[in-house]
Amino acid sequence: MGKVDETLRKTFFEGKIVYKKDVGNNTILNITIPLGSWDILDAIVAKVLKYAKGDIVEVGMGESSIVLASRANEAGVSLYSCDLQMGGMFRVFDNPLFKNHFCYIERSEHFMEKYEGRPSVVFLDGEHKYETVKKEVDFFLSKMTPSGVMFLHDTLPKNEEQSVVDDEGISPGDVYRIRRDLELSEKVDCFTWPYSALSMGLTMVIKRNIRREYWLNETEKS
Amino acid sequence: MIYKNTKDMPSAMGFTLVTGDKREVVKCPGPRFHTWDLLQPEPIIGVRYNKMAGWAILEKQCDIILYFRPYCVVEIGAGESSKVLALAAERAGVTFHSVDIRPEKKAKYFYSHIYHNMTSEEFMDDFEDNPAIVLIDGDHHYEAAKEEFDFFFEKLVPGGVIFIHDTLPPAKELLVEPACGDVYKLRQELEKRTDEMDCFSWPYSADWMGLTQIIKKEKGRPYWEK
Repeated sequence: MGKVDETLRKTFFEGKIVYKKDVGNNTILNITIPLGSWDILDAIVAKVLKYAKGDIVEVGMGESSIVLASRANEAGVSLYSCDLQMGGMFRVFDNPLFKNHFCYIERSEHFMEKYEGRPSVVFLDGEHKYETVKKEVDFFLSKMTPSGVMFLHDTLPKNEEQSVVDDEGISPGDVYRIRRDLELSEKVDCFTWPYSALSMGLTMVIKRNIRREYWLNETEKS
Repeated sequence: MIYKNTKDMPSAMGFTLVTGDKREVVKCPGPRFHTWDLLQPEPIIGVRYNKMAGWAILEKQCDIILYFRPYCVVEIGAGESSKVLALAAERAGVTFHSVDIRPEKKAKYFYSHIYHNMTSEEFMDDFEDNPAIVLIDGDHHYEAAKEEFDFFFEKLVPGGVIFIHDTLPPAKELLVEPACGDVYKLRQELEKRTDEMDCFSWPYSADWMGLTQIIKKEKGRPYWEK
């Protein structure tokens, strides 16, 4: 975790220290959520959990984990995080963030074999490859509560270079392809924020409510 | 008894469940709804909301949209939503235009809040600004809502968001004026225009009548989507 840029402190989180990390030698690093990173995720997850109670699942740990942990703790639900290393590739944290934070240090495909819950919030920011994310999307959409919301990061890379898959997994890669698939699906609504989430695209996905379909026309029902 | 519109329902703290001839008023201790509402064996016909929770989803997003896109806010159809939008506009330092034909809805919540006591057609005749947030919740006829949407979608700044209320009524009995009318037809139409916009409907919040939000796709990023 790098130094917090003071110029970015004029945010909705101004002065709000969301996490304190012990970096040794009696030094505590204050971690804030800078402008443009996870502000939309933070705002919306709080409301989704209010109306659609359920767990949170996160594939790919990092600063987003702190936001999700904070909201899960407030709502009294569990957070399941999965990554190849604790705290994500930037090792933002070393231990679970609260009592009901369950961390799985393994690939998402192995985590999905074990997970049997029904999340109301899913956040996907793990491997930046279309094939992997597609499996995650298909799996968690089937598990998600009817009013739950799935968030996908890196769905709107800023330029063509960023849309190429790199070995480190830092570039957004071709995750944008799953966004395009979802936009064309008649089973979900899809909305992509161009700002926030480091301006790499944050897509929200919700299942169209089958409970309200009886007044649709016959074509739509089919 | 089945209520034809939300105004006829008792104004309870909580919500009213109407299933066929049976009506049950459920008192809620706080502004909370849970997914079990959606999982009832029969459809929920009427829902009253605790006003604290009425526009929670809208409220949470407005601050962020206006931070990144500090342009004016327009509301067609004044009401409880005016307070939410006015607060966000005031915090962002932008103008808030509130349009309604009902003189009793006239309000001025802060210095740059302008109430326009006129029809949306009259307002659109003179409006030349580019808004970042538009809430369409006036006339609940498809034709009127579509006209308003088309006008403001053209004017909307890139990254701005249009919200449309009453797009997902929980029962067909609510497809009448002054409840939700046939605004849902506009949502159905917009959901198909995926080349130009993203369209997302919240089933909860906003009186549980559906709140659709639309963002215009940025023209600057299509080159890698070949």
